[in-house]
Amino acid sequence: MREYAEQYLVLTGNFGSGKSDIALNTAIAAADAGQKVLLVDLDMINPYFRSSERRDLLAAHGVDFIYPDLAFADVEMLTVPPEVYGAFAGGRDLVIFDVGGDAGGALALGQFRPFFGRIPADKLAVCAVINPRRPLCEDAEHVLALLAKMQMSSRLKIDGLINNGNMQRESSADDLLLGYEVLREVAEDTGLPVVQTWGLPQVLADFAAIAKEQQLDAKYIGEMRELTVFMHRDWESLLNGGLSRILAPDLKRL
Amino acid sequence: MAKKLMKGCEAIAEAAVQAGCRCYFGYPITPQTDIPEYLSARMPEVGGVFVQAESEIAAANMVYGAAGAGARVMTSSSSPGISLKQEALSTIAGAELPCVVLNVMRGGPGIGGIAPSQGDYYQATRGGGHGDYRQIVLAPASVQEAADIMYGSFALADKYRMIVMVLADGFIGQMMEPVDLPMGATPEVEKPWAATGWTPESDRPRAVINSLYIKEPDLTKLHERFAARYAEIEANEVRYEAYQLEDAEFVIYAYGTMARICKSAIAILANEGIKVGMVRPITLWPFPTKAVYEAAALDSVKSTLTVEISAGQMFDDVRIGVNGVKPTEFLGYAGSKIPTVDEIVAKIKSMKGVE
Repeated sequence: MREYAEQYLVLTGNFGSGKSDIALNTAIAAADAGQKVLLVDLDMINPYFRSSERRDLLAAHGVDFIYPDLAFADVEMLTVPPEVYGAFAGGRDLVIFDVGGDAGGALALGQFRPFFGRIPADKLAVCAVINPRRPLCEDAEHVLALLAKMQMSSRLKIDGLINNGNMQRESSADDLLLGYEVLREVAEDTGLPVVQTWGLPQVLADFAAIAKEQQLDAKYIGEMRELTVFMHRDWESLLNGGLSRILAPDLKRL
Repeated sequence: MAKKLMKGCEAIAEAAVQAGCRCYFGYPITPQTDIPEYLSARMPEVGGVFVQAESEIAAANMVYGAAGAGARVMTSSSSPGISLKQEALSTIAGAELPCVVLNVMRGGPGIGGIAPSQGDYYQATRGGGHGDYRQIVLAPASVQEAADIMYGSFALADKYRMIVMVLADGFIGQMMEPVDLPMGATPEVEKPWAATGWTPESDRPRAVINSLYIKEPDLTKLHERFAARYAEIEANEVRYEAYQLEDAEFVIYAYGTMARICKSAIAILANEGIKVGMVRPITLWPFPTKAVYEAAALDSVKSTLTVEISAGQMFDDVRIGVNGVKPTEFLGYAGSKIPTVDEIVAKIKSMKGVE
């Protein structure tokens, strides 16, 4: 008999859609609630802005994590570490895969198809994180094309959609509303559920008020989750240490 | 068009599409692979051409061909790849063809590193390839400005029939910010010189795309045309940002991302009662020599500081500009070590003689 973790969450999506932030928020919340959590940084195609850059934060919350070999060596030849296979063993409550963007990023999942295939369906959730404020993802047509390509390259069926409509510091409820509209169309076309809507606390509250007022269908909103931003990619945050690794290359590396 | 949340590379690529660029030839290299990645999906949507060539030099020669046929065309790469393209770029310059080349600089020489750098200033402003030629060089300091500059580059290249190089760095390429994208193609110019297919019925002479000028005075005449064109560009196309120069005690010269870091230092120094202004060249060629001189010559200015992510390349042009009117100092490192806000603050304080 093979053992499995209690729950697997695979996060795919378009480039810069917020997969890493959602992975970090989910991992930390679950760990803080007493769960035994493993976060696998499986982004094999982008050497910058990866969830494992927040490994100190993860460690502080007791989240186990695995990241690609050479992830901090400033090289472009990332390789999948053998430890990833350990994610398919038992003993954990939650295992999160934070996957690279687009179909190219999803490709890294393909080699684990036999392992994912043995996980009972109710223990595995493969979700596409969508931010329609990002280019080539601005409407249902683009999102549908992206889902098809990601499924083909990951060899996994996507079974849920996550609305992460945002403009970073300039985010407003409009971004989540756009996400709602786009994902509603995608959901109607594919039958996929919208499982979560993420937003900064105030943005999410504004969106909730609008959703109530306009009687938006809860089916296309799912669980509303407050987001704490850990992956800063804008200039102000970058100056304040978001890219400290690059700004101060002497920084101790793992 | 509503704002979009874009990485610098994506914003630059989309701005090129908006400006009417329909041909992209390139080869991937970090930190600008997002540009071919984006355009591989975007060009088919607008009926354009995307080719990932077998090498940088092949891509640059495809640019030569498309430019010769009158197309709005671009290529992009990062430092080591830009070096590989130089043979074709020199040929493009010799054939007087317009194109846009983006260099998202990383540390060098050789393969170097993948962190941001400004080590290619000499290469960009001194020709790059062989032969006595110039290219227009523009350096953005934000994602929005990178998009705006890219958008305007194609019309500029067409107007002067020459290479426009956009010189960015890994920060600009990888940072993600909300951007407003320009809309609508920029003005096209007539290209009667383009090789678009000639038949006996054509009412124009045969177009020959060539950079071979064996018989004198043909080569001399080419360079006379260059000289006249360069003088016109130096008179009309200089761009820079003058920042808080009024009553400034010190002037900083910096471009691109480095200038943005310097602005943070200037704000900190202003809080401590030390007035620092900045001249940020946006065109690195034509260089804003006059603006550099005039800022240094201000009565309030004691001395000047040039800050670069290099061993001091633009510093040469600054010294030509300042021309000895005030002292010039330099802060910067070769490779990818970036002068920090704290270092800039400390350097200005030491120039003022305070702790």
